[in-house]
Amino acid sequence: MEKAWHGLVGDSNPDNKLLSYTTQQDVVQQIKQGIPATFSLTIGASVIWLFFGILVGVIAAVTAGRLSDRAITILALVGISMPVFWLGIVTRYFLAEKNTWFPDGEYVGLTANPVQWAYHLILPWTVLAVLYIGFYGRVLRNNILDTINEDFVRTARAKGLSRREVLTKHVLRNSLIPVVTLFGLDFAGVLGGGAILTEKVFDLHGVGWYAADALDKFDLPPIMGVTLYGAGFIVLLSVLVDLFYAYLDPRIRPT
Amino acid sequence: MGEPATGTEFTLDTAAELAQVEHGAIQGRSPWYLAWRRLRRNYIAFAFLGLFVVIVLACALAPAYASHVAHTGPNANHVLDTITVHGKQVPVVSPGGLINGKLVPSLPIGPQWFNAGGRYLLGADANGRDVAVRLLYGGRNSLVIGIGSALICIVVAVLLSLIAGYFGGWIDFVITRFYDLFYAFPVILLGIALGSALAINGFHHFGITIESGSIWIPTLVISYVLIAYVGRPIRGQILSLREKEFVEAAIAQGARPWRIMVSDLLPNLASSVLVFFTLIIANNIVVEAALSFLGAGVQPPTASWGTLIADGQTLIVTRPWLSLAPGIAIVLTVLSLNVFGDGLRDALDPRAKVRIEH
Amino acid sequence: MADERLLEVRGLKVQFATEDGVVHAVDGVDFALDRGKVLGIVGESGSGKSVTAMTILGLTRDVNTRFEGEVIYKDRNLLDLPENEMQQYRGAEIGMIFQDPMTSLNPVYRVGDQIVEAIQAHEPVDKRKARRRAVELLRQVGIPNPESRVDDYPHQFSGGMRQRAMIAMALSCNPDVLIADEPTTALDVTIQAQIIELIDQLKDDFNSAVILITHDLGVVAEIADDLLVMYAGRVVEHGGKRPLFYDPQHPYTWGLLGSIPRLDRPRSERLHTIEGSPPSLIRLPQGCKFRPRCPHAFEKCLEEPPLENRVETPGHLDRCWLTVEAKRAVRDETIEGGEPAAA
Ligand SMILES: Nc1ncnc2c1ncn2[C@@H]1O[C@H](COP(=O)(O)OP(=O)(O)OP(=O)(O)O)[C@@H](O)[C@H]1O
Ligand SMILES: [Mg+2]
Repeated sequence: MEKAWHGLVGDSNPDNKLLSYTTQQDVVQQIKQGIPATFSLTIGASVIWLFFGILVGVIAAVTAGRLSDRAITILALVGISMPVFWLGIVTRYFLAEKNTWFPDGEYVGLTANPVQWAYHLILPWTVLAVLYIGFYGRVLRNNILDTINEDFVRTARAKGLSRREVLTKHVLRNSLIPVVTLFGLDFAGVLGGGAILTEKVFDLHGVGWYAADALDKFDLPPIMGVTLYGAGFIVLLSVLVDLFYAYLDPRIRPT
Repeated sequence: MGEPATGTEFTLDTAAELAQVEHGAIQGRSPWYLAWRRLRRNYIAFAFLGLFVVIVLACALAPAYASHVAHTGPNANHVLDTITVHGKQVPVVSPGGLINGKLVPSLPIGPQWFNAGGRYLLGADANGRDVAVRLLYGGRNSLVIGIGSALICIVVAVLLSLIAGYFGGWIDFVITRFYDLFYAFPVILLGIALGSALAINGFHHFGITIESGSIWIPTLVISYVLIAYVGRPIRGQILSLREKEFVEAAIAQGARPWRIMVSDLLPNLASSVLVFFTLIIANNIVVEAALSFLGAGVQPPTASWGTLIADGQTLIVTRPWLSLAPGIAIVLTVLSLNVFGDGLRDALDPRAKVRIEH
Repeated sequence: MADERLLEVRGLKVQFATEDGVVHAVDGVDFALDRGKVLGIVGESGSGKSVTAMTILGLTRDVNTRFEGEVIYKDRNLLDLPENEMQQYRGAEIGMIFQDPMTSLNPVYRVGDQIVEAIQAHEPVDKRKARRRAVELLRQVGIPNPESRVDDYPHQFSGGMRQRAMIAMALSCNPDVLIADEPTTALDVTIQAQIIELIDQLKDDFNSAVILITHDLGVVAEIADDLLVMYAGRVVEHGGKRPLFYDPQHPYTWGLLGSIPRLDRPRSERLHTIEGSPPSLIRLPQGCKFRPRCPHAFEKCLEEPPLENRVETPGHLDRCWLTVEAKRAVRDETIEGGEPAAA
């Protein structure tokens, strides 16, 4: 990383700062400016996708094999199959431009006006969440169906727990452990600039938008800078995920 | 008596349906036969496979459509031309300018459906190019990139994982660290960084030359950034196969490594590789579209579904079909592959959990 | 003291509809269990022992399962109970221990909490009281330092300790019937004996009855009162432990008896396993199900023999057409592991 940095910065730059080719602005500074929008987008979207992903996965698993399960499976696959930027363009066109039910793009600071902040972000949040809802729903459904066949679930039933208790305390609790890992990494990826498409389509001036904007001008340093910034987040979050994982699964906890 | 006392616990009804239709022992049948038997009943999967085949055929016939129906090529500009609609001459791109004291932007013709004798079925873009023709040609490129990159990605990932999983030790260490490196970057950013760098200069190293506009660049970039996502689960599977008796027996008998890899390990990977392949094509088509949309994939004037969406975006309010049509094409293609791949996985039931992202 | 009948199973049949056809997992099982008694169920792998046990507790209920017969527990037919009523019986009236203690406890919860959960499922006691009882139970099943061990996670327990914890959990609500499904199969030989002894002793402490399932006759030899020998989903022989051990009637039982390791024989001869393998439960053979593997089969075996009392001892039932004399003449060779003689 250090070496890559120097390669990018070049020797002629005494401040050791990464500068944009076209605007000569400090890349690190620009990335910092994008962070509030990116964080707002990521945190809101992840709440939505986690909630609905779990809901959808549980419903599908509990009704496995029946119509609702099949419908959810197909819908989840539709969600996964939609390019996020296209979904963004289409929803923006239908809901913010053709009909002006929602504001059209732009980011309003949380501190400036919380209501406007959320109102401006509802569409991007939802669009970004769709893919992950489909994805998490399917992963969780399969995890649950695997867990249901575990011996300890049979033990829980033999104790006389109700179906709901078995499902929430034993099946769901254990099926969610792998989902936590997924979530940590996806969250880090999106926070680290992975929401570039959504940010570009909705004109949210976040970190990803900065990279996309630089890409239009073939301005490489911001792209490299954002990529490294993303890698930093992923590494950081993987450590946190490992710690949290150990909390959830006592088997890998150091004693 | 006889009926279960109460409602259902957690189950799949299909087993019961199957049992009623088909009795008889299945002992001695190959797992492929069993998988086929399960897949055969999955009509939804087959319907979507049919859809995919139709899309592929339509895109393959793009040149025929271009010359016999639309009478124009994918990159031919018709900004100054006119066409006949209902006996009237209409400009392909209305010039715009100051009309009746108002500034009107120039506007390409909208979808003609079949009113213009097959020309401009979905309208024209800002350069007066026939969108239907570009959609089919773009589909060709998107499919070639999607399938090509999936193929390269799978071959490389399987090779690396076979070597890592079989030899273990420091070789395994190096290859898994190589995989880890990829996991540290958001796929899309890595693709952009590579794609944009190559899009500017092309690739001129190791005696290989790829020009900057070539669709080889997105193909290789996409296959490269996804190697780890395919390679990691396959390596895991090889590690568990490596423990199996038949592999240990082959090693004990002094079989050569490549022999063991080809005749013992590879056949056992075949089913998950098949599933991966289907799902990775789907994934790569989306990644191609995303990279092209951002300008780091297929370069203009070459068409692909991603570039078409990007081209149409500026005219979304007046000519929504420019972006809608390629998007729908992507969704249908990717969905058909995902549904079929899902059915395939259910039928083959490999333990591999496909984890890919875009 | 008059025998108090706790459980009676009559004509039990369990079928699973699967992709490959209908599996006749249990195909005619009858037995009765009195308080204070131990019933041993033995049979090879796949003979339907676990399915029988789990059906008693309603754990095999499923859209793809069909049941016939009755499971009478204290005058109620458990097969007819709706799920929410069945729940009251599980754990409280009938406790169950499973084969693999390694996977039968939930790895993410503390052992004590899992026992507390079992107690609170049936009794309105607060957490502290339940926990104190969990500690007491762990002490009773022989876990050293139960006060601190109660907070351990399952992976911190050894296999034998986990099985003890499972037993503690199964007994936590003082059930009248304890079903132990191969409680020792996954354990070391030395631990096996301890666990069996523990079960026997706890049966007296808790004044309950036990169904002990195993595929090893040696395990039940010590503590069982009655024995049930199962093959391909049916009972092939049923009787008191002594008559069954000293005067076994079914060739399949002979095979099982021959497979008990005996120290008085050289190792190579010690394990005389039964030739062949159990039939497919989807397509059962015609007549006696053991016929294809039986060295003494004759024409009559193409008809299914009923489970009847054929010897002098009352209550000793078997399912074999051979005359009692013919059986007694040929069986010693089978049990001793010599070449089986043709009938
Ligand atoms: N849910 C199910 N669906 C289909 N078949 C089943 C199901 N449960 C059990 N079986 C089948 O029923 C048969 C009897 O199984 P069971 O577990 O009762 O055998 P067992 O006597 O307990 O054997 P073991 O000694 O191996 O535990 C087996 O062939 C098994 O495959
Ligand atoms: Mg069993």
